[in-house]
Order: sequence, then C-alpha cells, then structure tokens
Amino acid sequence: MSNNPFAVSSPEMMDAAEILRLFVPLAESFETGAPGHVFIHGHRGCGKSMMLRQMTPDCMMLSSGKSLVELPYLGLYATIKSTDLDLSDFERIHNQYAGLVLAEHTLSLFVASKALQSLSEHMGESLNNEAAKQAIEKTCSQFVIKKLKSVGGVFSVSADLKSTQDVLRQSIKAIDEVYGVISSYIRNIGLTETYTPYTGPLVSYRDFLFPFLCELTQMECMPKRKPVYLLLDDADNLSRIQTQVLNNWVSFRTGNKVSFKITTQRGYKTWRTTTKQLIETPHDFNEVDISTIYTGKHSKTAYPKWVADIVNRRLKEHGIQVSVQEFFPPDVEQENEIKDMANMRIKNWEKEGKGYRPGDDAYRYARPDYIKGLGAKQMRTYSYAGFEQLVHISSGIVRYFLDNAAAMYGEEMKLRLADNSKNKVVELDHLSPDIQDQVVRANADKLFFGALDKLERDAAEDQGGTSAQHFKQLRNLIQALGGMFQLILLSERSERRVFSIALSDNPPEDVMNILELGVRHGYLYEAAIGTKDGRGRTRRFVMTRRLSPLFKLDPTGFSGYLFVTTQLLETAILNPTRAVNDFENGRLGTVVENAQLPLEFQS
Amino acid sequence: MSENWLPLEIKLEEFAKTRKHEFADQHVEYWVRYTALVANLRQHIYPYINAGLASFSKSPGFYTDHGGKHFDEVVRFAGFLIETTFNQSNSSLTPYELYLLLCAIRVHDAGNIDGREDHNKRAVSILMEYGGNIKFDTTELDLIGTIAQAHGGLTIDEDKDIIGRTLPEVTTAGGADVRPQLVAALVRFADEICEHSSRASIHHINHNSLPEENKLFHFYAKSIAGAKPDRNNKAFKLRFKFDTSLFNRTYLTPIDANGKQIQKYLIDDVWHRIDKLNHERVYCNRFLLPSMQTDRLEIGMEFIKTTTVNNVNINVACGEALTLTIRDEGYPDVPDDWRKEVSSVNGENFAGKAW
Repeated sequence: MSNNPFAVSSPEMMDAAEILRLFVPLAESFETGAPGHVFIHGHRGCGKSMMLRQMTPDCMMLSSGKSLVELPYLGLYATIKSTDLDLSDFERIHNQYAGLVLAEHTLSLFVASKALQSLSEHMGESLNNEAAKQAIEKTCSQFVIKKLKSVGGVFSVSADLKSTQDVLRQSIKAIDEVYGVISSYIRNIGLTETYTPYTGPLVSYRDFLFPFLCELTQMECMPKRKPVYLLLDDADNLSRIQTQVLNNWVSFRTGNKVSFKITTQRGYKTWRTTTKQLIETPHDFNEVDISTIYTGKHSKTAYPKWVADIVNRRLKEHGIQVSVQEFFPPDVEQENEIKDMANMRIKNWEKEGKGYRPGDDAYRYARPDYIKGLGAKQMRTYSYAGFEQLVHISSGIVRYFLDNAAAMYGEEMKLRLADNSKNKVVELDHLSPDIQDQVVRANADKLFFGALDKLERDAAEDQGGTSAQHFKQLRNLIQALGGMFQLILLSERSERRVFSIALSDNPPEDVMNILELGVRHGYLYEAAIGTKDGRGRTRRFVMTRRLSPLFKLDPTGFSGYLFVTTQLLETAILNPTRAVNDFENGRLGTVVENAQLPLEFQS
Repeated sequence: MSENWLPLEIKLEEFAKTRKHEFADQHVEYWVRYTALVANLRQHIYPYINAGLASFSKSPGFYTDHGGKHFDEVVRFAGFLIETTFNQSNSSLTPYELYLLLCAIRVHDAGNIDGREDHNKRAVSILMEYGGNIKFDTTELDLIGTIAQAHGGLTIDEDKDIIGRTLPEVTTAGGADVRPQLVAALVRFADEICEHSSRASIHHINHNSLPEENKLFHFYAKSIAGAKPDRNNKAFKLRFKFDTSLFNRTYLTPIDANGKQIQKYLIDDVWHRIDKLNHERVYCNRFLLPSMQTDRLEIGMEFIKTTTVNNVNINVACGEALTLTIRDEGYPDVPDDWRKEVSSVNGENFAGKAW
C-alpha cells in the first residue's frame, strides 16, 4: 500500500481487494454489464479503467461473493499501450491487402495474448486446481497451440506442465513467438523498396480469436455458456488500420458469445471498418460518455458526493478518521468574509436586490464580489483551498482531484517531517489551506504552459508543422476565453460566473477542429444547450476549471455563458489580446445573463 | 499450351506472358504457380472428395458429384460469365484478378474432402498444403482463401452477406489493384449456376438404390436438361425435363441445422432451389460489373412420361409445358432499415434546429 492515501496507480497494477476498497461505482449505472458491444468515452482519469477492471472475475467474485462459475460473464481485461502495437512501418503497407490482413493478424494475436494474461492474473484462485488445469490445457492445446502450428507457427511445446499458470504461460509464449515473425517482417520491409511478400503464419479473428474466446466459456470451470466480455482499455492507441480491424469485429453482432467493452479518450481514429462500412450506434454498439455524466441533471450533487465517497474510502484506509471537509479545510478568514458579504446582501435584498430570492442572490454574488474586492494587485491572495472548491476545480474528473490531493499530501508531509525533530510518526488530519492553494495554482500553470508546450513539441516532431500550429491556436483560444471570463467576473453585470461559450452560428471546420482539439486534451468540455431563441439546441464548450487560478476566476458553480460568433473565435485563435480588447469594448460577443439556468455544476 | 485447359485458363496463360507487369509481383511465374496448384489438387484432393463427403459429413450420404469435374465446370461457367468482357476496356478482370478467380474456384469446394460442414473454411489450409509456392506469399494465400470462403456459409454473426462483410471492395496486392468482392461474386455465382444432370448418379437412380434423404438432390440434378448463361441477352437459361413418375410421392430431406427432416415433393423443392438461385443472382449482381450481370432467369419445363410399347420403355412428352421468366421488374421492394439510422433527421427536429 502506498503511503500517500491519494496516490493513483493504474488499475492494471492493483489487486482485486484494492480495487474493491477504492472503487466507488459511478452514480448512474450503465448498460456495460449487459451483452453487446459498448464504447465508453471519457477523459483521461475519469474512472474508465477502474470501471473495466472491476468487471474482471476476481473483482466480481469478491464484490458479489459468487464463485467463478456463477458469474454472469467472463470479463477479460486488456489495456492497449501506445507502445504495444506501435509498428509504425505498418503505415507503409496500409493501403494494401497485406496491410489489412497483417493488422488483423497482429491484433488477433495481441488480444489473444492479453486475454490469456488476464486469465492468469484476474481469476483469483479459481483456476488453480487439477480439473481446471486439464480443461484449460485441452482448450489451449486445441485452439492456440495446434491452431498456430497449423498455420506454420514454430515454437517449442513442453509436455510436462505442472499448473494452470504453466499452461497459460506456454500459450502466451507460443503467441509471442508467432508475433515475433510478423514484427521482424515489418522491420525488414522498412529496409527495402521491392515487393517482399509476407511468408509467415497468419491468423484472423474469425478463425483464431473468436473460436478460442467462445470455447473459454464452454469449460466446466468457467461461467458456462455465458458470454465473454473483452474489456479493451484505451483503444485510441490503436493505429488507424488496427482501429478499422477492431471496428470489423464490432460490426459482427456476436454479443451473446463475445462482446467488446472498449474505452476511448475521444481520440478514436475512425468508425469505418476495413470494408469501408460505418459502424453505428445503436445498431452495432452502445455508447456511454462518462465525462458528461456530471453535466446533466445530477451534476450538482452526484459528482461531489462521488468524490467525497472515494476520498472517504482512501482516508479510512489510512486510518484517518476525519470528514473530507475537515481534511481539506478552506481559508477560514476568506470564507468568513464571503459569508459576511452574503449576509450583507441578504439584508439589502429587499431594498436593492437583484435575482430571485435572498439565498440565491447571496450565493451568486458574494464570491465574485469578494474576488473583485481584492483589487487587481492583491488578487493573488484569493485562496482556492477547501474541499468544495477543489471538487469544482477537478472539473468532473476524479483523477485531477486525486492528483492534486496527492501532491498536497506530499508537500504537507515534507513540511511536517522537516519540523519533526523527535522522529515521531507523523499523522496528518488535515492539509493546510496554503498548501492546497499552492498546489492548485502550480497545476494550473503546468496545465497551461508545461502540458501545452509538450503537446505542441510532440506534434511538431510527429506530424510536421500543421498540428503544432493547432496547439498554438488552442493556447490562444484558451487565453482569450480566460481573459474574457475574467473581464466578466470583474464587471458590473448581474451574472459574472461564466465558464462556457455557446456558439451562435456554425463555425467553419478549422475553428471546430481547434475546439475539438481542446476537448480531446481536456481543456474544454462539450455539452449542448438550448439556443438563444429557444428553438432547438446548440453546442456549448466549457473551459476546464483547473485553469481558474490562472485567470483568477471563481471555480464554484456556473450560471451564465457567453454566446460567441465565429468572428470572435477566429480573432481569439489568431490574436487573443485583440479578442479580449474587442470584447471589452463591446464589439464582439454577448453574455447571456440567463437567470433561468439551473445552478448546475459544470464539468 | 496444354489441351486440357479451359478457355479462361488459356487466357491466364496468355496474360502471364504478355501482361506480366500487371500482376502483383512481376517476377513471379503465376501460370506456373496456378498449374502446380491444379496438378496437386488433381492428384491428392479431387479424386477423394466424394468419398470424404460421404463418410466425414455430419449427415453422411450419397452426395451429388463434387469431384474434379465439378471444379472444371465452375471454371467453364465462370468463363461463360466473363469471356466476352476481355475485349472491352475497363469492363473485365485484370490479369491478377483472373489468377485469383481461378485459384479460388480450384479450391472453393476442396474442403469437402474432410466433410461437408465448414468446408468453405478449409480453403486456406488446403492451399497451404497443396498450393505450392502460394504459401510463400501468406497474404495472397489469405486473399484467395477469403474469396473462396465467401462462396457460401455465414459470417460469425450468422449474416448471409458474407461477400460484403468479409471482403474489401478494392485493395492492392503488391503492384496490382484488386477487387476482391467482384472476384468472390464470380466464384459464387458460377458455382451456383453450374448444376446439371451429369452431377447425378444415373446408375443409382435407375437401380433405385439411393439413400432416401439423398434422392431429392439427385432427382433435381437429373432433371436439369440444360443450364447456360446467354450473354447476349444477359439471361441465364435453365431447362428442366421432368420424369412425371417422380412427382407421385414425397421424399425425405436431409437433416438440417436444427436436426429436422421433412417430407417434400420434387416440384416444391425445385421452386425452392430456383428461388435461391434468383436470390444469388440478385446478390451477386451487386458486386459484379455491368458487363457481367445477369438480368433474368429463363426457366423452361418439359414433362415426360414413360410408356411401354411392345415391351420397350419409351419416353413420351406430355402436352403440358411451362415457361417462366424471372427478372427484376416493377417497382423494387427494397429494405428500408436505413431509415432507422436517420430517424432524428426529420421535419420537427429541423424546424427547431439552430443552423
């Protein structure tokens, strides 16, 4: 167990007991447990991997108290790292039939190997007995070893396998050997310009992977005649042609035998199959977007509650018996001042109040008023500490909360240990508001400068200048939006907490691309909203609250949004300073002061 | 040039010499590769298919002929479908496609040697074993195998559209562009139409020694007097000559996938097969070039009865005859599933939409 209660480790590194202790089911239940292919979209860190990992048998058995054979399905977890299948020379042959079949071949082998790995790691003790060993040995021998040999695979096989683990390891090794042939072929064709046919073994989904997976749940030691769920994590890391191959597999409606549960970070490369057909929802698969769960009707309470549950579990795990509010205290002085301002407003409401009722009014104005009152020069002293603000800043993505909390815990620990002359065991029961504030500010800087710089650099190295240019434009856009939101907060408008823009027209593709780039990398979130005239809906983009310290914004709640024109966006992308000036002078954009909007929590 | 080869094969031999650069790899002798494959199959596979079918199938029995003659016939019928197209530009197969077509035909039913079930899936393993140098290009092997496999059966999710879903429309192999769906549709339709009396065992019919559940096949095949594409009219002509004595009773069908057997009259079985043939025609047309498509089926039926005159059996035509043309006519009844996919694009939604 890590010493830091908030340390985030990748779900694949965790054992079932740890997952079970730390995993808090999402507020809404999705159809992921039912047969059928599902795509689960969500930003990095919003809990996708945890969701898949807890569908593996060891977690299911522990949480339900059932045995392996009683489970409703056999979940096999496979995470796709960008380096795993990165055969960049593939692109050389991707227009060819060879490219297609080799992509299918490698992906089939890769997934089969991962499935066997999952069988070896995620079944608890269920398979460690002689009967299971024999059954699995028979299946592996027929569907892996013999199959690979029949297509010309060369590898050695031992007759003396002592345990289930030995059996699984042997099959994994056989697959790896066959995989080696294709890797070396692909490396070699990089060296020559002439036509070099592939002469190695070849397998496909229909003749290798699918029959093997189907056979798994025919064994007595498995959930018999139940479907197999392939839990594929991070499918964005597949190349375009591999994605097409996977789409082919999804296009087969085999849900009662094999279902794919696939997570993506919105970077899924294509929805076309290798035969150029589109796979579509709900026809071929279902779709779940976890990032938008907390923008909907449950947003105000569900997400903070979920985070509080997760944090509580982690605190308890470390023997810290305080509430989350006590562990992450706000800056008391600041909160008292804001409360005073709110009370003042309530008193003045009958005389001059805007808004609908005293409480509402107070809530909407006190904090922005406080930030405004701090004055331009001293504004740095606004504190972002406190559980509630931290939850808002995490923008609906629990990983951001945990990462911040882990950093805060580390800093606090360092300070205490430095003071700790008597070498006593240090037990933290809260994190100081100063440290909370520092960490949040540092991370906002890092997000805007460090992370974007890195993305821009990587893009420049990878694909030439065009997409590096896009990241520059994204930075301009964010800067302009932040600047405008700050102006709004400091203005005399009745609605000042604005974090989002709504599009009043249809921007051209290049502008949309920048917005979507922002969404993909977590700088913006997309949601829909009713149009200004009340007919239909339009697209809305919300800036991540993680940037609020950078632009000195109030991270809590949300009320208005800024209706923007294409002209404003285009100016912002090219020249953020000019866009902010133009906005200040009333030339571009209008703020919709919509008091009718629910006080929803936006992520 | 050997005299044993069929017109399409002779075409391939010619292309292999004169249009070398249009094949996937111009350094490969594709004619040699093809003839080696055929020689191996003729020696090791074709002679044993009928025996394999009879003994290793789930429902063993006396199948119609699937031996070497059947493969030659499919090559011949594929020739009927495309032989006139080679003179027109852009309306025929490329040399490499022709090579793929012939290889695929040569192995399409070879898997029957190990029994009827999943025979189409065994094309690749047969090619690996008997395909000579084809195995030195695994992706060519897969391409031929996948095309051959699409002549029947279902996809893994039990969809009949196996050509559309398992093969790309256009791809490249080495230096050649290939249209795998087109080639697969030719294999499939040629296989479908090459059904005639020589596939039935007249000896066993005459001696009434066929197993009960194999009779329908053989009677159907025996009744086909002629089957030939008529390219000038884009028609496929199918002429039957029925022995009316076969109509008197029902026959047992072979056991189907659900383990069921029913009693069926011959003429009802014939209509069922014609309907299937028409479905295949429409299905394959989707992938074929216009120059290769068949627009209609022309069915002709004659009925004969056997009478004994002076102790000699003679066949006499009955007065009754039937002709029927099945073609795409009238306003087509096409599936409208696609509407579900655009159900949100409608007047009400558009009226309220911000453009």
